[in-house]
Amino acid sequence: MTAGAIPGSEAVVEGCALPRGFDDEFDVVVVGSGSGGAVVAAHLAEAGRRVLVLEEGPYFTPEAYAAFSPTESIRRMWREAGMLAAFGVGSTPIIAIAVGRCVGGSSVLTGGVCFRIPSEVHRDWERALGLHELSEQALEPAYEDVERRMQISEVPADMRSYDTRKFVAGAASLGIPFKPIRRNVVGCQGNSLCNHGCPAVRKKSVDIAYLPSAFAHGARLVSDALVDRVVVHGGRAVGVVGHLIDRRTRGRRHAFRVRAPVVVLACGTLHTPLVMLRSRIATNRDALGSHVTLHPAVRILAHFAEPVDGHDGTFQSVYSDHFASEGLTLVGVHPAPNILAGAMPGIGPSHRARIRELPAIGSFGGMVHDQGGGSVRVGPSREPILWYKMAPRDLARVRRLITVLGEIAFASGAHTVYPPVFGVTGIHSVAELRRLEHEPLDARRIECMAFHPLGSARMSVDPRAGIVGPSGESHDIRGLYVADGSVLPTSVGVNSQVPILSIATRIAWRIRDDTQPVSSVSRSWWSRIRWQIPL
Amino acid sequence: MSPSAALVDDVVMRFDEQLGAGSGDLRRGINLLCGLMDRMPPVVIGSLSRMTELTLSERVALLEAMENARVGLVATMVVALKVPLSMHAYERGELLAMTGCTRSSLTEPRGDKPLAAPRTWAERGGKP
Repeated sequence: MTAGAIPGSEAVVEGCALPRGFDDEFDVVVVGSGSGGAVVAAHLAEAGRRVLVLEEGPYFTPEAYAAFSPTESIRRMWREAGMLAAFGVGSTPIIAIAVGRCVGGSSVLTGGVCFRIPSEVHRDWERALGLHELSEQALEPAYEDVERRMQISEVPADMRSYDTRKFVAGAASLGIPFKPIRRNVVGCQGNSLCNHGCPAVRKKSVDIAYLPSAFAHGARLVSDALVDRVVVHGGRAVGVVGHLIDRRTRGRRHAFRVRAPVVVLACGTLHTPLVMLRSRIATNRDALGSHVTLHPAVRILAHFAEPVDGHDGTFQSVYSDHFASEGLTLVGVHPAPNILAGAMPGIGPSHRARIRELPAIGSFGGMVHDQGGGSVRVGPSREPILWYKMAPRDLARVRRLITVLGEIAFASGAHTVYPPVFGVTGIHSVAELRRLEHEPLDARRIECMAFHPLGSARMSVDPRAGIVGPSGESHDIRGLYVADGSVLPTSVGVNSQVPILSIATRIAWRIRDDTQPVSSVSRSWWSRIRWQIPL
Repeated sequence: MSPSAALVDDVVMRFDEQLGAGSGDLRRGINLLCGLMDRMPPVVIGSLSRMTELTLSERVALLEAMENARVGLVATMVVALKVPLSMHAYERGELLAMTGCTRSSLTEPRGDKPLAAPRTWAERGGKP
């Protein structure tokens, strides 16, 4: 290879437009630019490290993606063009998975919901797993840093959509309290299109809240750059190799090599284990890619007599932890009208007839705090295959969640409820709803989705139980860190954005304190091996 | 009223572009799905024809029967195509208006105006 350093001096380089590959050296190379990678890049650049971020997906400015229609954003920014699914094993629904594939990652596409990890989860991690570094007290400075940068605040009550207001009133009549959600959005207009990239550029996703600071401190980012493997020399990570991607065909273009004494994998729960598997570096093969949790989620549609125009208002504004002891979190959500249209039952004329009723259709959702059962495996090409075996306990929770949401819908004044069960074209009473919960049902008839895959490279004190230690560094390879949702040891039962950001913050601080830049180590082992990294 | 041929072509083209943005695995999966669906009439409605040989009304009946099937995988086959096709179809123009969306386009922000109480069906001049 005759490639030189990364061309130009711009902070963001679109790899798909480069006429050649590159061969460069940095203090830290971060693979992935989502909620983990962007945080690590910003903190380490601010600490004076020379940081390079490599992102497989494309780069769009916030102003560019703000102008995308929902299907455009799905096509350009969602992994597998929004058609990714976890395959159910045994009595398990097929679960649609929504994750990002762009600079900023899923953070650009979330509803912006911000929860800290619940106290009882912290206590479990500390007591049962011995992870004192993830105690509530230990993470407090990281939480505070995240909440300041993301400008997190409560959704004002006057931004709730009218279907949400009806649900909240209906729930209150049943003694189920709802609370305002906290989000990383400043001045929400109520476009209800958060999961397609905020059209008003009001959401403080990591491409807005973190990456600009990284760039201001000298970090660079190459988009359309797929890392094939981590290079290891003498038990230490010393860089990565990969290739630039043609954005249109997704074919390989030019090879690149980056040498760095610190490698941070932040490719997300689905891809971090794949990079490690391809690099043949994890000795604990049983734990790698296993124990994936998803927070399986469902939504019900409620048909009211009069319009509620749920698409006007904040995408997600309220939640209830009233059923937390049963592993359920209820969350308000109203997708874009064209997405909702696809969820209505029927084909052809019967489908169109129901779509005409959409103004009077409210939407409400919830998710299950699952015990895991997912595994990420290498697929026939470069995308992973995600298998998920839902525990009987969690399947019962999903069915209970549908009933709870439906009962609230009826209490809110809905005359018909459309549960997320294929072939059930409308339910008209609570009794009917309860019968549905207990009657025999093929689990694959339940329409399920997930937005928070977690845990494929778990953090553990004992190397036999996980992939990385409490500092985020690999149990096997020095200088290799993981900082994304894959390190979370269990599901957290709440939206995972702040948990990932906070844990990544703590890992970034540990990297800053525990490692040195290239300039400080150049006369030691680094100078001896840095030119020996094979392509 | 059925949608125009031009609209159907446009939706199919945009769905095709969506698949093109996915991996080869995704495209192969959708190919397999379409092949299986074409062979479903004998299993679902007892017709010996392939789905592509059925009349439009027979196809609608087949797809409705599949969506309502007791076997979840059969229903999933329909939904896997219906959801993305509906997303494209109801995203703009007349069909977006049919959803009752109060905005003329899903690409323009609604601005900083306060939320207003929804107009009733009567105030809208009846259901669309």
